[in-house]
Amino acid sequence: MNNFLQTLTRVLGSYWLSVSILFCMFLLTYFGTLQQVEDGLYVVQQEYFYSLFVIQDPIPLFPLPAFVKLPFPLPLPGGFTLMGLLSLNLFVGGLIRIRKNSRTVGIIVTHVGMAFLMTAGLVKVLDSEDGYVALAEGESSGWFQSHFLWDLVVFEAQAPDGENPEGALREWIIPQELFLDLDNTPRRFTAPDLPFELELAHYMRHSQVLPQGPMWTSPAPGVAGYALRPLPNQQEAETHLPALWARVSNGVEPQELLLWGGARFPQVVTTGAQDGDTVASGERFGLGLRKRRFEFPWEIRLEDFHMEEHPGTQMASEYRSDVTQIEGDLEQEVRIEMNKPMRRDGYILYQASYGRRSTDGRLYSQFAVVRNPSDQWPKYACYVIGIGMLIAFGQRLTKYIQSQNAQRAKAAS
Amino acid sequence: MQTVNRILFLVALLAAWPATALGLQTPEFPEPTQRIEPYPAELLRAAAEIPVQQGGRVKPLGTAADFTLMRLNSRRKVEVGHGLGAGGKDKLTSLEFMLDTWLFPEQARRYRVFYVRDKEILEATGLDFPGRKRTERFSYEELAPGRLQLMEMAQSASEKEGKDRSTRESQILGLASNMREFEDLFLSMEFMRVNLPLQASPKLAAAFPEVRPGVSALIEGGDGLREIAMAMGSSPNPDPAEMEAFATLDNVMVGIKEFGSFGLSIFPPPETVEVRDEWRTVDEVIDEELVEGGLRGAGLDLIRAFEELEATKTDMGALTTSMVALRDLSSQRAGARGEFEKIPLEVSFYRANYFMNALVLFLAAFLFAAISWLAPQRDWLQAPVWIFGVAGLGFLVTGIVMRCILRDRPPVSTLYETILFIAAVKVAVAMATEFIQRKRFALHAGVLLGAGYMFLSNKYELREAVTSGDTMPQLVAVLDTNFWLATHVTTVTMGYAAGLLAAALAHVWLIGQMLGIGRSNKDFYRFVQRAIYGVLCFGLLFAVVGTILGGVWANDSWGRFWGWDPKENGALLICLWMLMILHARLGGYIKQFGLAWLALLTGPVVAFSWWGVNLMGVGLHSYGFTDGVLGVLRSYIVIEVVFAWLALAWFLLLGPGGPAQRTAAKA
Repeated sequence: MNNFLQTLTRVLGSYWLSVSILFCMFLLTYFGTLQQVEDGLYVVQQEYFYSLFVIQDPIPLFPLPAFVKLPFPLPLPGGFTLMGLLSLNLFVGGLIRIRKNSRTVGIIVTHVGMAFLMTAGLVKVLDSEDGYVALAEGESSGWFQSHFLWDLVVFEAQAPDGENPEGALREWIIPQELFLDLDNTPRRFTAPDLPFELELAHYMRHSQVLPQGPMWTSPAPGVAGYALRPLPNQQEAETHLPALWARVSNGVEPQELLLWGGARFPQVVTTGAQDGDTVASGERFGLGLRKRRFEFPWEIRLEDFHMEEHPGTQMASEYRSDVTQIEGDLEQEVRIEMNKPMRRDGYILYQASYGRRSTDGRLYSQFAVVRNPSDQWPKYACYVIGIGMLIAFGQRLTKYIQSQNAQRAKAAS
Repeated sequence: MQTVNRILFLVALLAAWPATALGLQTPEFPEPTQRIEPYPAELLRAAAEIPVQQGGRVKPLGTAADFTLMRLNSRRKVEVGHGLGAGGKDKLTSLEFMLDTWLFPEQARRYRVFYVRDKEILEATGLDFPGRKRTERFSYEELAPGRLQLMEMAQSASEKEGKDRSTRESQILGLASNMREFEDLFLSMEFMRVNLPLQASPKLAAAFPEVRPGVSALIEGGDGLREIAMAMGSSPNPDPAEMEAFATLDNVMVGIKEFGSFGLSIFPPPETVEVRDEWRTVDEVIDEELVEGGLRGAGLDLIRAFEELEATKTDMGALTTSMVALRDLSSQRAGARGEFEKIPLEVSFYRANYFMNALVLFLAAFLFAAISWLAPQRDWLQAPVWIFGVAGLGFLVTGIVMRCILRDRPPVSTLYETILFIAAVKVAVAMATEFIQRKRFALHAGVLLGAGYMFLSNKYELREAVTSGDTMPQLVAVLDTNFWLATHVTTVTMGYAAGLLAAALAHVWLIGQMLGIGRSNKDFYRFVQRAIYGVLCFGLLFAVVGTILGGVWANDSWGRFWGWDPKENGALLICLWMLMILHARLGGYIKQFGLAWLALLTGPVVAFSWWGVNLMGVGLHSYGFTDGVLGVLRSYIVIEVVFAWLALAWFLLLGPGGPAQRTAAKA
């Protein structure tokens, strides 16, 4: 057993493993970069860097001439696999097995910094939220939405009454992780207080809804003369409009629905007594796909958006937003500008972009929003790594210069 | 729409130059005058310092002229003969060329300034130039007969996406754009020489009693003009002759303003920068001056100063006085807005030609280095290598520092500046290595690299002239942060420089070994190895710190530390590659050949990160315009990859890794 552990430790901490991991990471990064031309950033992130393995199709090896291609499909360990192995290798080889003396202080400090940096990355992957919120002047929001993640939302709007003078909204949310893998075989979804059942199938990452016709065939069943048409991935994955085929039953009149991310209005089903095919009365529920929402612990209101261009050009020189953070009765004014984000309660709001809404023509300011517990860790890791490398290479350089001087002195004498 | 109007207008106008078309009355222009003597140096000094606003910044006219000529001509000078250049030379500087387009346009139209890479595109316009080379320079006068056809072809080409255009279509677009730019140069200045029909009717004559028929006179008599217009508007039976005279004047002014709207923004506003940061072109000045209470004469005196240039152009002494007066007036206006203080510095920066001087000095240093190879035992031959090398580095660093002062920026904020900075770092690190080792190869490689990079920067400056019209452009909002430019960009660029230097030193080892040069001198090759290793360590430090700092900046700008964007990946590739080499060396998996061979490939890895990812057309870091760079990058990488394979073949068949050596080692 001891032998096995020793062997395992030796292998995990070996230079051979370090070199292999670094080379595989090099290849993965290179191919993951090239592949972005075809698939866009988000898809590549998921398939190359947030995965266990990937098979690289033969592609031209840019920037070599286009006829120089990878000759065969190349299996590569994915980002998760490599980062896991690198962490082990770094820990075992760079922190445990390494000789600890004055000559290796710099290397050890560097490795500690690297370990800290990788921990920051892990925390970001495991426990962070990111998205955006776009506001026109005077508008406020208590939530932001994801760029890429979608949820299926079933909601019931209740009319105002004595208890809820503004009405109430009940929501049942099915996160995309529960339907991303769906193809022909439907999956059933129920909830204790939801008075009907839902079956989902035929998930499409990017799609459009078109009238059925002889010129094309949908992989999903059509509904009321319409069907879902899958579309290729876009460079900008945030523009993807996913779709699902759905069937509701058991509590409502059974019916099939097409749920599409680009729909302006939800699909509506009504519960209640049924008389043949006619719904007599009941509660109305809306169903739709929408980008995942995350709550702020406060509200944010855009007071003023300001944009300037370099004189005589159309290049933005500056854009900034004056916002008010509203928390109960407390209001605090904050300015958010390029490279100067707002940091509050673990949330960071960045000035991302601006534009004009197609719906009402109003100018809006868009903020990227992130909640990341390891937000500033990479900065500290950078300091540690920098210091470590300075010590390590400084020691070597000093020693080398001393030996050179000694040799020259010897030769001179 | 404005562009379409302008093209139509110019097409019609040039077809019957100098008569105007489109229903406009023909304005009167003085008889063409030829310049027969060089401009005096004092005049050129004054002209160079006239401030203009272009590309979002205020710059000297000299700089604007430099980049204009580079765009048209792919050179900074134009050959015209007749000793018209300063000091009686046959070549004109860019400023002399620009002044000729202003003051002697008929002459300038005969200068061969249009660089045509393949004259086949001219044949497509119906022009034939038998006996002229395939790649040639042509004058406007030579190209004008095919202009209409060229513009139609350019219109078709412009309707395609850039990536779908053929080389020929790109060349057509470029030439058409250059012709329009040239036309703008002289047509936009028509305001200073036009003879307006200000006495064409009794009422006009009464409003403009002076004989002077220029635009300034029109502005001065603006009140009278308004009265005439109002009187005609309110009169039930206006005098047809007066109406026609007024319409004629109006039509001529429409043309003058139309031309002027495409000219330089050369009129500093009287308002403060906070109130108005955009300078005016002549059409805006005329419009605002003619509005009662508009600029209150703030543009009028400058228009007068320009008219004075035209009036005195046949007498170089008087013209010099006029030019100095114009410069003084213009600089005073710009100075009042705090926009002139760096103009003289920029003029002296370009006049000093730091980077060209650095190129010459590095070449001289390398020449002495090459001579020293013939007599290696003569140590004194190293002295001139050091002297010229250090002088070259001095010029290079001074030029970089001057740019920092002019821009209020750290040394690197554009792709062009990365070339300069990398050159400086490479030469400095090579010299430091030489200082430690004193084996000559680092110094010799350093000065050769310095010369190569200065040559590259010169070529890229021409490209910048075409694409952005300046090497000191304004930055997009996200880059407008000196802290991150000074930290992330500078450090990561030092990482690039070290990687490229390590690759260059690897060439020394590999070529020397492959050709058997001084193979017995093991000491020498050991020192080269140490230099490669040291430079790689230096590079890794800066590449890693720079890359992480980039992530920290991205976290402050875009809300994420790492997004796997191509530029970020490029930087990571350099770090991974260098880490792999150093770990492989530490583990004993590579020896001398392996270190040199992998260091050699660091060059292509850095080149991919530095330029390649910008050419992919994806990602957030699309700041640098790199059209046309792909060919150079591809050639470099192909050469290096082929060389690496050759080196590997040599090693495995003939070198230390070959069968003969292995057998010998076993025995």
